[in-house]
Amino acid sequence: MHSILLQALDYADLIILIYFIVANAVYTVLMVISLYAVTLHSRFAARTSHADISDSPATPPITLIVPAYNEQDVIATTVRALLKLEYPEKEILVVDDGSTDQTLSRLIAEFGLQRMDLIYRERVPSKAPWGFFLNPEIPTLLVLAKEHGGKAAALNAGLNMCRSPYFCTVDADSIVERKALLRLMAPVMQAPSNVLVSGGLVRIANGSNVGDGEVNEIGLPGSWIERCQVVEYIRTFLFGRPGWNFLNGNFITSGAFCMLHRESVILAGGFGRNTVTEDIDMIASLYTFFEKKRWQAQMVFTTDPVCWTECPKTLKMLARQRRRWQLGLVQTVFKHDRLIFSWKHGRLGMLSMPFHAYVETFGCVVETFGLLILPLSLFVGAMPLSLFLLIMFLAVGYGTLLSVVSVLLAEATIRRYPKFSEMLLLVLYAFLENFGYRQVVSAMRAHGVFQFLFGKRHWEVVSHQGVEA
Amino acid sequence: MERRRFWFTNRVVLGFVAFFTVTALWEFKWKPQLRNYYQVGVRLYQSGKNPQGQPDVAKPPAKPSPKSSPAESRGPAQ
Repeated sequence: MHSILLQALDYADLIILIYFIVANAVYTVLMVISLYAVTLHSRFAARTSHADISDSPATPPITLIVPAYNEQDVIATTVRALLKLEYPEKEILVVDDGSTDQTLSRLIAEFGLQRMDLIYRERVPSKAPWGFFLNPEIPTLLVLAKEHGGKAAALNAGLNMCRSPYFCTVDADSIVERKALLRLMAPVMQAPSNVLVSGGLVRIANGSNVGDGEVNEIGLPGSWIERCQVVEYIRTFLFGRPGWNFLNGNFITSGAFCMLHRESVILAGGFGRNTVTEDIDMIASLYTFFEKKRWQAQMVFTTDPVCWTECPKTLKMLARQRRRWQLGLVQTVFKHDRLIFSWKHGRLGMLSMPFHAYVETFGCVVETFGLLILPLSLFVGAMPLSLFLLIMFLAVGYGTLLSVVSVLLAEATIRRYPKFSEMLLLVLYAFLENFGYRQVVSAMRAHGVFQFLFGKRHWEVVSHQGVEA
Repeated sequence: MERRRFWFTNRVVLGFVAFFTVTALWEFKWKPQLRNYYQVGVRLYQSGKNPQGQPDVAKPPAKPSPKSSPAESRGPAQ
C-alpha cells in the first residue's frame, strides 16, 4: 500500500514539476517580450498627442455600450465620465438589463431622460427593449431598458441599436480616462490589416481620489486584499497581454474596456449566451469565424488607454469574481477547442491557445493540489526535504520576481503613484501577495474549474459600492 | 447548425489524454525503476551492512534491471 502511495505521489510530483517548468518558462519569455514591447510603446505614446485622430474626418464614430444590472451606486458616475471622453463622434448606449434596483430611475433623474419610441432591428439574438430613454439636450446618450437576460443579451441589444462601425464595451463600474478612446482607436487606424478588437489597460480605482467621473489622484486602497489585486492587475495587464500581443497570440481581452468591429461581431453571431465570460468567448468566435471565411483579422492590445475599475473588497466577492472568470475560461476553451493546436491560426493556435487551455485554465488546479501533495510527499518520504524547500523557494521566489518587475515596469511606463511611499508599499505587496493571497486565489479559481466539471454553470453577481469620494 | 460533438472528441480532453498517457508511460514504464533497489540499499546501510547495500544505492540509472529483484542481484546473504 505504502509503495503504491509513493508511486502515485511520484507521478503527481512529476505533473507538478512539468507544470512548473512550462508555466515559468512561458512567463519568462512573456516577461522579456513585455519589457521590450511596453517600454517601446510607452515611449511612442509619450510623443503622440492623438490630434491627428481627433481632428481627422476619417476617424470612425464609436458607440460605447454599457450593460448595467443593479448598478445604482455607480452608473451615474460612469455615464458622466463617458460623456466627457475626448473623441470626435461618440454615442453612449446604456442597456439596463432589467435591474431590480434604482439603476434606471437614477439615470432618468440624473440626465433628465424622457421615454421615446425608436426603431429596433434585431440582427443578433436578444430580447427587444421595452423602452428607450433619451434627453434631446444630450443627443449622445441613449438608455435602453429590457427584461433581464444576462450581460451577453444586454450587449447584443446594444449591438442591435449600434450604428457606428466600431463599438466599445464598458462595464458600468468602470471609469474611462479622457483620451482612452483616441488611444484605443490609434492602433486601429495605424494597422496595415483589419483590426477587429482593440483592448486597453484596466487598473483598480479603489483608494484613488475619484470625483465627477474622473480619477483625479491615484492612491492605494487601504485593505490588503485590494492592494494585492492592484499588483495582480498590473502583472496581468503589463506582462501577459502585451507579451501575447507581440506574438500575435492574444486571446483574452477585458470586456470591461475593449473596442470591437461591429459588423464582424454581428457576422460571428454576436455575444454568446452560453458562457459566463462573453468577452473571451466573443474573441474566440471572431477568430473561428474569420478563419472559416479565410479573412485576415488582427487583434491588438495597447497599454496607454486606461480604464479604472472597482475591485472586490471582500474575500466573498473576490471568490465569486474569480470563480466566474475561471468558469468562463473553461467554458470558452471547451467551446472553441478547435483553436487549440490549429496550424491555421499560427501562433495563436500553436502557442497561445494550448497555453491558455492547459496552463491558464487548469494550472490553478495543479497549484492548489500541489500545495497539498508536496508536503504529503515530504511527510511520507517520497521527496527529500532539500528538494521540497528548493521547489517552494523557486515557486515563491519566481512569483515574487514577476510581480516586483511588473510593478517597477508600471512605475516606469504608465501613470505613477504620486507618493514614493505608495510605490514602496506596492513593491512590498508584490512580495507579500505570494504568501497567502495567490494560493487563496488559486483555490478560488480551482473551485471554478470544478463548478464546470460538475455542471454548475451560472453567473455569480459581484456587488459594487462605487469608488467616488 | 453545428453538428453535435461528443465530449471525448474535444481537443482539450484529447490533449489531456495524450499528456497523461505519455507521462504515465514515462513514470511507470520507461523511467528506470530504481526505488526498490534504493530502499533495500538504504535499509542494509542503516542496519550496518554497508558493503552489501552499496551496489543497490549506487546502481546507475542507465542500467536498470527491472526483471531481477534486489535480493537476486546481491547474491546469497552472508
